Amino acid sequence: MSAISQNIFIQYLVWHFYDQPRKILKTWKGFLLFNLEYFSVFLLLKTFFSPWRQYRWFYPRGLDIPKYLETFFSNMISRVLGAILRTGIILTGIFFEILILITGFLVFTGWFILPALLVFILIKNV
Amino acid sequence: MFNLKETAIFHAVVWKDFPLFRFANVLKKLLFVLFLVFLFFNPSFSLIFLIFSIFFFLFECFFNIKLKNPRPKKTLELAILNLSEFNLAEFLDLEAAFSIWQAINFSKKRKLSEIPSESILFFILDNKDKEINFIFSRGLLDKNNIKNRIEGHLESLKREKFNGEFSADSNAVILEAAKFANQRNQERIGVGDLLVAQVKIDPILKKALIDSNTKKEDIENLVIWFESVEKKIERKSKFWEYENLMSWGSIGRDWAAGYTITLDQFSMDWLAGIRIYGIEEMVGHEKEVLQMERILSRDEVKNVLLIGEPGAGRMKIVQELAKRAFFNLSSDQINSKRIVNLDVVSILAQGQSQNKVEEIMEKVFKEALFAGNVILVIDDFHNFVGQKAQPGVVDISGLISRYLSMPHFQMIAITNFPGFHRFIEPSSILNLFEKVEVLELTEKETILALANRVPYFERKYKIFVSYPAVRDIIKYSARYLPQLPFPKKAIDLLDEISVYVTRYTKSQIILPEHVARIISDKVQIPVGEVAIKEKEVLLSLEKLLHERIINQEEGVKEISTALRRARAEITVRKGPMGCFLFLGPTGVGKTETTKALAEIYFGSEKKMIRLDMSEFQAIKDISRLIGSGNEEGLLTTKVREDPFSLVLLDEFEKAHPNILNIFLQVFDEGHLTDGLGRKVSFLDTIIIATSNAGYKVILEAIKTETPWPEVKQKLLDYFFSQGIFRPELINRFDGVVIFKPLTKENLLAIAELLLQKLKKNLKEKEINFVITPELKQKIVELGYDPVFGARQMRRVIQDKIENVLAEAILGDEIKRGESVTVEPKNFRLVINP
Repeated sequence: MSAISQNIFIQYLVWHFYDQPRKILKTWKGFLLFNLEYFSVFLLLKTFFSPWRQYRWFYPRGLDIPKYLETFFSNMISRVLGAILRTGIILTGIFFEILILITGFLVFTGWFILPALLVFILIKNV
Repeated sequence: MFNLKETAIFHAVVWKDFPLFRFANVLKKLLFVLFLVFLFFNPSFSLIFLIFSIFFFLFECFFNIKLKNPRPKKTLELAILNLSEFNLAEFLDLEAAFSIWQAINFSKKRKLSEIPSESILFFILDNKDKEINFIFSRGLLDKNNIKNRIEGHLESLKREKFNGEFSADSNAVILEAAKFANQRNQERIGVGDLLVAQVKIDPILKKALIDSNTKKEDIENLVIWFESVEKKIERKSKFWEYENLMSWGSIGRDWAAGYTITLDQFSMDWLAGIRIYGIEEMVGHEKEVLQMERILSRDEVKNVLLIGEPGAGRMKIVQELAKRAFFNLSSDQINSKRIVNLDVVSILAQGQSQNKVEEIMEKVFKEALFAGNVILVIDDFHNFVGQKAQPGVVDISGLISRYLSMPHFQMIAITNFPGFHRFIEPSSILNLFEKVEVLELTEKETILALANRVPYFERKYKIFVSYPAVRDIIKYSARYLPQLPFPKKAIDLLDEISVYVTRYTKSQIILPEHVARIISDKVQIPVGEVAIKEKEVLLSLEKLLHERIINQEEGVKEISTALRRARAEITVRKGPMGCFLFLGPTGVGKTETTKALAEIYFGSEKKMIRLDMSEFQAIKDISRLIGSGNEEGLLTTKVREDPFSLVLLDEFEKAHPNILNIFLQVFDEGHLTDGLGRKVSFLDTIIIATSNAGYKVILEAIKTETPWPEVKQKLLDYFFSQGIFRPELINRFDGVVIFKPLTKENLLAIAELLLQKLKKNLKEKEINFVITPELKQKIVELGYDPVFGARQMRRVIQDKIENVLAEAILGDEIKRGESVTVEPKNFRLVINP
């Protein structure tokens, strides 16, 4: 085997088991971050108890207890409604995040064993 | 140092033709098809095809990703600085390395003493590289012709013992290529870089490019254009990259924000546009975008006033900001926010009264504030502030001021310079904004901006846009359309030319002649290589001027030679096409010469901008001349609107000395900044200043028969001693032309000229007007005045001859085909004399 051939074999190993796995990890990370962004998971967690669509009422000046209570409950409803709806979308986001985690893991490990797997299937079939 | 064999890229050169890699792509596809076919007949056997297809896929990826792109250990910049320590060959890309390797083998086989730069060039052109093909096809260059010339040169080289060394030219080419790649922050040296370097060094290529009217800069621009296209394609193809994934947007981004029902009704969301159409790469303006981001991210007042000429890229800057907000590439105060363009005109149209309009506006601002994720954009902001109340006009400054001072309210107001100076600057609302000035793109940036638009126009009009056409669009629009900013004028021009080529020519390629044609039609000036008509005019200028000017041989000659000098671009000058000072008594033909020049050179006397400088005797008159916030400049605006004009400055000596100083810059640099901060170009004007100061010196000199060159000197001495003109001003004129007082013979010739004009007019009515010597004599007698020269002569002809003829024609005294004359004694009409 010539020097160049030896070199290319080592280069292939470096590429397959070091360079590409790093790229796969980077892409995997990109998908995970995108999913969180797509479902705005962090933003929705940060604003979990914010009033729904900023619907809020201002408290009355002076001692008007019925009005005060009315405003309090209205704001409470708006916040609870917001939290319920956000929960739904956060959970969906987390579900897909898990899916991407699993898929990414399969791709990552699959890439590592791909040459061996191909050779194994080939031998088995031949 | 340059040693190709000791580099990682050389492995790729060697392995390139190895069947495993060479046919990997074809075999991968073929085996996959076989897998699909056999899947139905023998699934387990088909699996073998699939496995081999995957193997070949792996080999292909390995070659393209790893072998073709070895990562150099140090940067190209460092290597250029330490040439003795680094091997420049390490920085070559595969195509460049392969071309050089072929050149080495060729030189060895042909027994050339060393490796000539032409051999590298030959293989760059011989390999069917897509970058080279792009450069030659876009540039309308004949690749085969150049290749044949180089081949001929290589054939002619003497056969000697091959020493394996690169020639001095080859080394220079490689170094130049490295420098050009480094200049553009490239990691590697490509074939495009080698080609650019060859243009600088190789005489055969240089000559071939001169023949096809292409410069080094053009090849550089083509390389940059190709790279920008390639980068765009590559970026788009990598769908898995974070930025591409992010273009899907976000579901819950708005959930924390409030509804903006009224605002949505009267606005356009930039993010929606990005989501649907994507966004073109912004060229230039990075500084302005960063400045805007800084302002919008502050704690206190977060409002931007974007000032720039329409078409200078103001909207592109807002678009770029929207893009950064969309992809979360900006600060927290901007990321995920909606950039919303408020359509105030729609609000004005829908709100039937002032109160209703204000009510809607209040609602819109309130919604933007409470939504918490809106950055409001108002275009043409000056139309809505500082305006006097009248129907259809609204002043929102009072209303919006309250919101602008709130820390959660963010706004970008867009305006232009005149609007800013006139309406916003005097208003207190300015304190609530931070200004960002939008500068016009440079010509180099505009080439790239235009290149980005080319695919759109090519798709739309089904045409091919050549690079020389793009280059000429930029060149001509910079010169002939100075009143509009880049890139808009160039893009609009490309659009117009595309329509012209599609509809009115059989060509499917936009060529430089199409550009010249449209520009010529637009500015009514022949453009191109000193256009043929202009050449003819310049060569026979004396003759053309003498058709209208009597006597003044020296003056006419001086003007003609100075203009020829200036237009043939022999003298290195930046100023106008020509500037002259005409001196002499009144009525000797100074203004007539100017008019004649305007007609001959610019096609019409209407192309003359005439200013009586006696109206600019005080320093405060400067604003009338160059404009200010409240008024347009009498000189600057006219030149801006029609840059191809003759500027006549009558009674030049009477202007205030500071106003004369302004002209120092115009004569010197060829431009002037007007009162609104706009640069006005005088490069395509001819400026003529006239003055009758010192005419007594001329009369005296003629009386004493002083030789003519001495008269000029005497006159100038008189000016300097009296402080009428300063030497530095006089020196900046291309010619100081002295008009002689007219002799009796001259006056008779002028009378003849004027009467001939009348004769020509009457001939159209089929009336023959007979000019007698007595009549001419009488006209001169009545028309000449020692103070006013021949100026009265036209008036005398009008009063004494034209009136008589007019009455006779209206009274049917003269019939068609008859001859008439006017009797000089009492100016009576004589029919059929």
